[in-house]
Parts: sequence; C-alpha cells; structure tokens
Amino acid sequence: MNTSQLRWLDLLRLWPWQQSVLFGEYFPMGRRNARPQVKKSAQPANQIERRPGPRPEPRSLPQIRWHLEIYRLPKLGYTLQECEDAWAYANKDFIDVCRDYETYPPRTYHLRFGAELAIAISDGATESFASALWAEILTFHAVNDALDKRDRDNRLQANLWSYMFDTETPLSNKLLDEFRQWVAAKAKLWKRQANQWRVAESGGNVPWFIEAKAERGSHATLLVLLLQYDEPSHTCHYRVMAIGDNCLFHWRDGRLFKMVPDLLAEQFTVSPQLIGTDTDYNRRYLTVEGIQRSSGQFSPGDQLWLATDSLSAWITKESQTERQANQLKKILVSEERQNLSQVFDQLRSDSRMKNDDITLVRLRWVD
Amino acid sequence: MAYEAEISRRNPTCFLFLIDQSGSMGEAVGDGSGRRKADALAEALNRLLMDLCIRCTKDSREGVRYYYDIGVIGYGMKNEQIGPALGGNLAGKELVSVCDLAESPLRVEQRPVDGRMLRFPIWVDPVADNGTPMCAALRRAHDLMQQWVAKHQDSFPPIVFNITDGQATDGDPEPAALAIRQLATRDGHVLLFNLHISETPATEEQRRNWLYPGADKEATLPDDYARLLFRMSSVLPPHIVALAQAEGMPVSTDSRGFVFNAPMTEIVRFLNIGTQPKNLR
Repeated sequence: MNTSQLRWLDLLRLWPWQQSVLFGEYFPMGRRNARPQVKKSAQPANQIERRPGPRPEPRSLPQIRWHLEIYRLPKLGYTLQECEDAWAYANKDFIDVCRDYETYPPRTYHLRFGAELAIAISDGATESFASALWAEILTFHAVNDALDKRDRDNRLQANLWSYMFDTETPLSNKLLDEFRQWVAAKAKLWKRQANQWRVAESGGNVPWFIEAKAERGSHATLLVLLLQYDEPSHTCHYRVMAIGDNCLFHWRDGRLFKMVPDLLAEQFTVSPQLIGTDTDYNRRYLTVEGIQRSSGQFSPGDQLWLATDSLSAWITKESQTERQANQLKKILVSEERQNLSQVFDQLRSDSRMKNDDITLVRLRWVD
Repeated sequence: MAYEAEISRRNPTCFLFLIDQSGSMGEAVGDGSGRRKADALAEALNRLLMDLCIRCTKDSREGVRYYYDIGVIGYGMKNEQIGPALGGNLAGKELVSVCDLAESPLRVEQRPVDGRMLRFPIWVDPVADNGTPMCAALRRAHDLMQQWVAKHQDSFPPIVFNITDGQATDGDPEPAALAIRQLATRDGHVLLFNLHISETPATEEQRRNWLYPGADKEATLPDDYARLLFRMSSVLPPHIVALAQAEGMPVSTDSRGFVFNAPMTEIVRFLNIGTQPKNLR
C-alpha cells in the first residue's frame, strides 16, 4: 500500500461530523437531514453516493451491537434496475438507501443508549408509473423525517412521525390529514423527477402513453420501523407503522413471536392498501383503518425482519403449523445461514413463492 | 388448468377481439344518443386498447413492457369478409405486441377532458357493412390461437372476445367455437367470451338473467340462437368471477363469459373486467 492510498483510507476513518465538513457539499445524501437533490435524467441508483458507515461509539457509553443485512432481489427473469422495491436506513449520523446491489453486505453497527435508528421498506405497484422512484422517495423521507426532531433552533420537539408512532393514542383524522400533506409534499418531488426523466428520455416529444400513464400517478406500500435502545432494561423498544402488506416479523428463540400487520396468508392480495402520488386517491383510499401501528421490545438474540409482500405471504403460509415453523427456522432464521438470495431464488423458481420483487431487512442483536 | 400463470415479458398473454362489422351494426344503440352500434363499439375498443397500452407502460426509460399480444379481426367488411381491423402502420397485421400497438395508432386525436386537451389514440374506425361471417372469423381465430399457444405453452391462456349484434350468415359457428376452446397452454384452455349487443325490449329480470348466465339460467334464454352463444362461451375463470363480483356484477362460479341483448355499457364493463390481469409481473 503506498502513501496516497493510506491518506484516502485515513479520510474514510474520520468521524461523521468531520466527513460532513469534508464531503458534505459533494455527498449531501450521506448526511442526516439532507434533502435529495434532483438531477436531470439520472436514475436514483446513481444519485446517492455510498458512504462509509459510522465509527463505533466510544466504549465508555452504554451501547449495543447489532447486525444488519439487507436483500433486494428483482423478480426472476428481471434485472436489479427493474426492481420496484426500495429500502432506507438512518441513524442520527448516517442515511443509506437501496442502490444497484442485491445484497447489502452484512455489517455490524452500534446503538448508543437513547439513540434511535429508522428503517423503511416500500413496494412500488407494478402497474404504476415510475413506482420504483416513488418507493425510493417514500423510504428515504420516512427514515429521514422520522429522526428529524429538531427545529430550526436545534431544539428537540415532537414531529408528525412522533405522533404517527405513538401507538398509545388512536390515530385521529387530523393526524391522518397531516400525514396526507406529508405524502403530498413528497409526491411533488416524484412529479418533478418523473417529469424531468420524461422530457429527457423523449427529447421533449413525450409519447401519448407516457403522458397518459404519468397522469395516473404512482402507488407504493410503506413500512417504517423506529428502534431505540433503553440501557436500564437492556432492551430495545421498537415502534412500527405499516401501510399495505409489507410486514415486520419479530423472531425470538427461532420462533415467530410477533407479526405487524398480523395478516393471514389469504389476506395478501393483488390490491393492498397503497400510498398514491395523487391527492384525491389518498383522500379517498388512505384511511385510518389502512394504517397499522404497533410496538414491542427487542431483546438480545432476537431478530427483526422487514419483508415485502411475497416473502411475508410465504412466511405466513409456512408458519401455520408446528412442523412448518420448525422447517422455517431451519431454512431462514438460523444464524449460520449467511446468504438467503439462493434460498429465495429456489423458492420462486419452484413456484412455492410468488415471483415478485423481494426486499428483506434482517436485524440481529449481537450481544 | 388453474389460470394462475404470471403475465410477464417472458410469458405474455394474448387478447383477440373479433368484431362484427355487418350492416346491422349501423343501427342506433338505443340509448337515445343516436350513435350507431359500430361507432359505439369502435369507441369502446379504442378506449380499451388505450387502457391496455397504458397498463403496460412502466416509465419513461422503458416505455411499454411486452405483456400482451393483441389482435383485432373484423368480420362483415365490404371487400374482404374477414380481416385485421387495425389501420395505419399495423394494417394487415393480425396479432401485434402491445409495444407496437402503443407506438403505431392510426392517428392521435386531441379531446377536451376537464378543461384540458388530452391525446386519444385511434386504432379502429367504425365499419358497418354486408353480412355476418362469424364462422369464418372464428375459424381464423382458431388458426391464430393455435399458432400462438404452440409458442407460449407457459403463458396465461389467450382470451378471445367475440362482439356481435346478430346471427352468423355463413353457417353454424359452434364447431369453430369448440375448436378454439379446446386449445390450451399448460395453464388452461383458451377462453372464448361472446358479447351480444342489442337493445331489444326485455324485462328487468330477463336482462339480469341474460348477463353472465350459469347453467341454471340457460333455460331463461329467449331462443335457440341465444342458447347457441351460451354453449359457445367459456366458463369464467375464478379471478374474473372475483373481479366481477367486486364490481357488483351478477356472476357466480359457473357463470359463462356471455351476455345476451346487453347494452353497450355492459359490453364495455365486461371488456374492462375480462382484460384485467391476475398476475402481472
């Protein structure tokens, strides 16, 4: 290794705030609370530069180690660029979103006492226009805004997402309206970006079918998880909000402990609850009943999975009996299992699982 | 034979529309608008084709994804008894991909919608002339579908929609209809749905019984011709039954893809339901 390589590696080892100062201008998406920059004719996969993960927090502070692994697989016979699922992950220093890789390399993070992290997954509707873009915008802004609890004077304050995650209080129509407004603001970003691509790809002469399809807008599901470490009880408190049929699976001792939303296998249909880019659609179809919320305690050795619909449907179906649950534990939940891509490909190829895009975020507490 | 196959680029499906262009299609539809049946059918078909193209459009980079092969065969035309009804660059082609269909309408009209001008593509112009050579059309449909299923054994089976207002003038269409329904992919037999447009006076109960009748309603059909069309029609697959029931349509698990003496609005409604995909991927 020569001297210049060493210097670059040194830069990558800087603390997050130092990275922000040095790289912030060029890699705005790597910082928390940054807004995505719209670039002409660029696909989202290329918009966001990869950043190194945060350095471990000093050992003197109470903290836990946890393991993150993410899979994002396109339908069999399709390319990763055609995958319409999206995910995003954020903690107080760092935000990352899905890009052009199938498996996010497993990595270990540290969560300090009191600190929060947010993870979101979304499944863009196949029949919608530019639904991958809509799924990416929803996930990025959900994790960013869920942790963004400081006002302009840097004071902590509750925000929309604090209320959305407050499972103790029933979701009011007023809060639902605020959420719809949040969606409408993000839909403007989608429209602007989709329109720029439209013009860029067609040289200004937009075909009739692109124009007509764009008029119908886009649709996607959304599931957001917020996790906070509580040092005195040595547990993590998690809260989850789901719109549509993406599910959170909480595994304890290799068994399914909890599922949110708690759907039956036959409830995974072709028409789940969706978030649209169209205000009228959301006013009509995005209802209080369509937003599922829950919370729980995440203990050492537990696993949390965030899965899009086809995988969720399969897990639900396969965990109906004791024998199936044991089989499932052997196939998927075992810690020795390193790479699940081949398992999912085989299941889809054998028609045991629907041939759909799959996103799985696997969180494991490493005590 | 489950009608479960996914519809994807690798395994597209096929919709074939046989449209009656005989002289009787020049009569008014009977809704008081003064429109001819041929005009109303062409309008409905153009809207449906437009919707199929839009459904397959992914984004501005990919454009239209190849999910469907589509054909429109007219019967009763002036110079040639049956033949492809698509015009422009697609003239003479019996089956085209949805990508080609989207790229090559006959013309694109500007129409006002909610105070804005929107583009409406036109592929089929109305025609109302001569007899009703339904048998020839069904035989041609059989040949086309035979070739198609041979190449697409893993696909969702094709659906043939036969839209007519009268009786065949070239013989008994039942053998040709049976031959079509005996063709199959590994996922199921080819489906043949018969949609009979008419505004002949009938009671409310009769009208209701003549929409998607099951075996128990066959006896209520008014004549031999209606019963012939009933026998020619396939039973609706489960996903269409579910979609139709969700729309409040009077269907049951043994309902056939058949309407008799139905107004144009019902024809349009069924075309929309019948072309809804189950597993678009």
